[in-house]
Amino acid sequence: MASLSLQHIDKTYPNGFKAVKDFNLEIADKEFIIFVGPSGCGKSTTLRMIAGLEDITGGEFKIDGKLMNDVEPKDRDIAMVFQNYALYPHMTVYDNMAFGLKLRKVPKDQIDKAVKDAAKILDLDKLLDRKPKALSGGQRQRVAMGRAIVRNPKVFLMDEPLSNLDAKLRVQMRTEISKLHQRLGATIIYVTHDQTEAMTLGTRIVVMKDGVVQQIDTPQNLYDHPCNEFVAGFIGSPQMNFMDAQVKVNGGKVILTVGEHKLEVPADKAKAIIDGGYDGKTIVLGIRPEDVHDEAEFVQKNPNSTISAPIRVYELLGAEVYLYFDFAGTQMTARVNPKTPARAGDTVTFALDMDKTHYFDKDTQKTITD
Amino acid sequence: MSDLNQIQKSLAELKKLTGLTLTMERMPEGSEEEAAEKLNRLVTAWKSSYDREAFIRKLLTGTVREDDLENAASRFRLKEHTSRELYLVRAGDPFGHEAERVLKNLFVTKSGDLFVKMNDHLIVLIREHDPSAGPEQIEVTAHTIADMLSTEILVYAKVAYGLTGEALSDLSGTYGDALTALKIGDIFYSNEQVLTYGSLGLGKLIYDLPVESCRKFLAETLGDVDPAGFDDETVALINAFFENNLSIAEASRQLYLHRNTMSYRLDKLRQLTGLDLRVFDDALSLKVAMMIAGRLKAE
Repeated sequence: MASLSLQHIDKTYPNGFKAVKDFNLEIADKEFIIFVGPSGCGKSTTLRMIAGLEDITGGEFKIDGKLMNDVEPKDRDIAMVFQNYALYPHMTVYDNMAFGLKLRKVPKDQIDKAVKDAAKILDLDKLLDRKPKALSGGQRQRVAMGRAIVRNPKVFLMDEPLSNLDAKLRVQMRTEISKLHQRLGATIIYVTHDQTEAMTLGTRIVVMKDGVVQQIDTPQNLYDHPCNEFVAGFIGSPQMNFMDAQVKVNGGKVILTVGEHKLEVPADKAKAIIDGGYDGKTIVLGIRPEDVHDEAEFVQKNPNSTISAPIRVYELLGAEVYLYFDFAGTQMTARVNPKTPARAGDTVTFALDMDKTHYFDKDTQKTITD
Repeated sequence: MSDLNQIQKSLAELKKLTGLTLTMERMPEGSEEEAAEKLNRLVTAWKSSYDREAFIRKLLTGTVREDDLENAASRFRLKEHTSRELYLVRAGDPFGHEAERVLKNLFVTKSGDLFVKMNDHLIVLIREHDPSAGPEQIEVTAHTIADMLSTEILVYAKVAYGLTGEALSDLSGTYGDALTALKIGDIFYSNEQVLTYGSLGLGKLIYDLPVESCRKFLAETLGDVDPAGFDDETVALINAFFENNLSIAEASRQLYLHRNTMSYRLDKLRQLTGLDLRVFDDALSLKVAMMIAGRLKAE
């Protein structure tokens, strides 16, 4: 069993740089937790503090209720997988996986069992005698995972393990890692800057920015109810569209002026805007590309939320099309059906699905309505 | 250890190194200390003459004479004229034998590959440079060294790397640069695990400035405003703006801010400091001021 508790964790380097600030998280046994955020947000630093590779400046870190702050990394019962791994070139797959255990003077028979068990889980059992140069990229990646699995740790810590792989292999390995989690029944903490990886792998996601946790939630909740502009913009691809909107409250209704267009906010969202005292102020309206519609039927049914603009770029992805256009000084993206007749240069009328809009305070960037 | 014990130890060591059995038969009274010292120096000299790792250690610290270099290169089968990659690995805790095993198994795979333990906290890895490998590949290797130590033995190490010129004697310069890179990294880039001297830019320049000049610059540029007192949000804003070449659009995207929010915050900063980051000269002044403040704090 491996539950983890991080309470008020801080990391300040000797030169005063604060990499992690007041990080709080409770991780249940067998969870697959993702730390996600842009480069430099503190996610890898937090992972290293959990591993014991970096000191914790402030706060408490516990595994199964036991304080770990001053416990040596080798005594924390963890195993790590990193982005930049290398296999020992002159050793077989077996020896590559066994090496770490040999260094720790684990008995031979235990090493043998651990390696063969891990190899079976990873479909490497027929490759144990091969050398790294005879392996494919995916097989090598699995050997790197095998190094961690043989330790039979309480917690796996993975720091961008797929970042160096090509796109196709990355997708394949994502599935493998997901299956691995189910087979091992282990607690995994996984760091990535790729929000697609985060959304597909995690049971819960910790979104970080500048050393601070922005939101901790399930992938679906993060997508549907982002707590601030940063999370809204970071999660989801293509990125959410943002635009400034001037608020006017008129008899219980909220009308937004965006550029030269007027949009009415749905009643359930209007209340929060009114109660927040935003009348006469500028807020930020967010809408995901898939909620910007060009279908004639939708546009007809939503005449009060239409906008028109010439298409700058048309991108066909196969199952969908992205249309890029400028609106009210903002570059916007619409994700539409590939059957759309719209092409670059055409002026298209879109309708915004106002029920799917998000609203953010311009100064604090926090959500007003979610 | 007593002088007699030291003498015995040195004689045993010499036997191991040379195969010759040397004994002390008669020693003038009071000369044990001198004898112990001379024998110890003899052992050290012999080791450094015939021990490859000891020779490289001397070469890195610049204590090999130019005229000894050719002979030594031939004796230790080192190519005199080839470019090499040097990786300096530093850990907070002393390196144990496990680190040596990991790095040797990973890195020392050809005759030109070298592993040198400088002290308990510093290891140098050297290998001949493949001309087809670009600078990115060398950086990846440095990251791999750091990550493998973390993976296999759960040790956090920093790695500074560099590429030498064609001469064997260039190793000491590259080693010196790597050491300096680690020092500058400790001041300005403390969250970076991998560093190279060539990419330290302003950090290098500021590192070499006299302290008084630094203080004067801060007073002239910012008056009473102390960059060390900027809040985290301001620091993130400034860094993102610099990282994105003073582009509001790109910096906004990096910070996931609306560009109007970005402009608003830049205006606030101008009110505080008198410097408008959208103007190149002002941005440069603030960048230098912040780095100088960091360096002074480290002092």
